[in-house]
Amino acid sequence: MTRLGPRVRAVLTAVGLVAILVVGGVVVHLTPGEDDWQDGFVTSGEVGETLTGRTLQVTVHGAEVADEVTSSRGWTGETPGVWLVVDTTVTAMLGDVGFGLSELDIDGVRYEASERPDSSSIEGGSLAAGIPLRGPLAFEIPADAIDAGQATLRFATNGDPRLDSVLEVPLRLDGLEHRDTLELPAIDEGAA
Amino acid sequence: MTDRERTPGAPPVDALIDEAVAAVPAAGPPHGWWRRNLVGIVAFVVLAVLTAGIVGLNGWFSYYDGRPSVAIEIPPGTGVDYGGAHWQLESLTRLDADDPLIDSDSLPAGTDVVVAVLRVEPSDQVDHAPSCSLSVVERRPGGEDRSWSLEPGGAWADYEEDRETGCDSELTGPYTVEGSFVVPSSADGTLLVRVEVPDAFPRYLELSAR
Repeated sequence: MTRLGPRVRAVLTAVGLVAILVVGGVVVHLTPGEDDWQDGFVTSGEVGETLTGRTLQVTVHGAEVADEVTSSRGWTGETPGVWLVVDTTVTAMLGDVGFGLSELDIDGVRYEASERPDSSSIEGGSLAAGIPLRGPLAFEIPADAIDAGQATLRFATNGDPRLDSVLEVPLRLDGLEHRDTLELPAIDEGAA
Repeated sequence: MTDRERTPGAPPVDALIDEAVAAVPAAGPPHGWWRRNLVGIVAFVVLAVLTAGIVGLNGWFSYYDGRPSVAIEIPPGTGVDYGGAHWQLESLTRLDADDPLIDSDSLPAGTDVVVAVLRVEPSDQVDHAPSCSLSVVERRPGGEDRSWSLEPGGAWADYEEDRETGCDSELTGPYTVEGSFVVPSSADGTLLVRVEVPDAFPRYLELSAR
C-alpha cells in the first residue's frame, strides 16, 4: 500500500475537518430545541369528532357568533367586539382535574375562554373521570377577527400544556351564524 | 545531488532512503499512547458512569419520595397501621340513582354513588389523627386506574350523624369516616379505597372490600 505524502495528508485532514463541521451544523439545525422537546402531544380532529388525550376527552359540537350573550342567571355580557360561543363536551380520563386550557388561536393570536360568564360556562370547570360536562365556552374577540376565516381551538387539563396531551380542533369562522343576542345554553353534567 | 561521488563503504542510496522512511512515525498516536493512558481512561469512564448514575438516581428518588408511589395493598377485612393511625375499611357500597337512599336530583345522569365506611384509630404515639385524602380507585386489568375524590355534601342522603364525612386531623380519638364518591355507572373495574397521608409518603394504602 502506497504511503500518503504529507501534502495529501494535509488536504485529507482539511477535508475531514470541513466534513465534520458540516455534519455538526446539520445536526445542530435538525436537533429539536427546548420549545420542541417540551411541546405538548397534539391530537387533532374535526368539529363533531371526539378527541381523546391522556387526561382529557373533548368534543366540539358547534359554534355561533353573537354581539351580546346572556345567561339564565341574569348576567349579560356586552363587548366592543363579538362573542364566539363554542358548544363543547369535556370529560376527564383518569382522575379529578380542572379544565385548565380552553384557547382560541386566530392567526397566532391566542384568546382564552372568558371567565366573565362565571358558572354559566364550563371554562375552568372541575372535571371527574368518566363523567362528561357539556356546556358553552365564550371567547371575547375583536369583530374583525372573524374575517380571518380559520381558527384553532386548543384544549388541555393544564394551563401549561407542555409535555402532556393537547387537543386541537380547527374551526371555520366564516359561515358561522351571527346573532345579536345569544343565551348561553345550560351546562349539563353526566352521560346523555 | 546527482552524480555525487559515494564514500567508499557507505550503504547504497536506496537503503538510506528506506531507512529514513521507516524512521518516520506512522499516522495516529503512538502505539504506546493507549497503554500509557489506560489507567486514566478506565478511571474516566468509570467516574463518568458513576456520576451520571448517582445524579440521575438521586433525582428519581426525590421525585418518587414526594408523591404517593408505593402502594400498600390491604386484603378485605384487614386493618393496618399507617401514617399514625390504624385503618380498617368496614364497608364499600355502590348505589345507583334509583336507590331510595340517593338524592337522585343532585346526581349527574349516568353516575352511581359509592359509600365507603372507614374506621380510623389514631395511634398512641401521636397527638391527633393524621390528615389524609381519600379517593376511590377503579382498577381495570390492562388499563390505567381511574380515581374519584370525596364528594362533600353529595347525593348520599343517609349520613350517620356520629360519623365524619372525611378525614379530620382535629380529632384525637377513634372515629368513623362515611365518605361518598360519585362514579360513572360505566366504572366496572374493581373499586378500592385509597388513603394518602402526606407525612407517610411515598407509601399509601389501598383497601379493598372484597
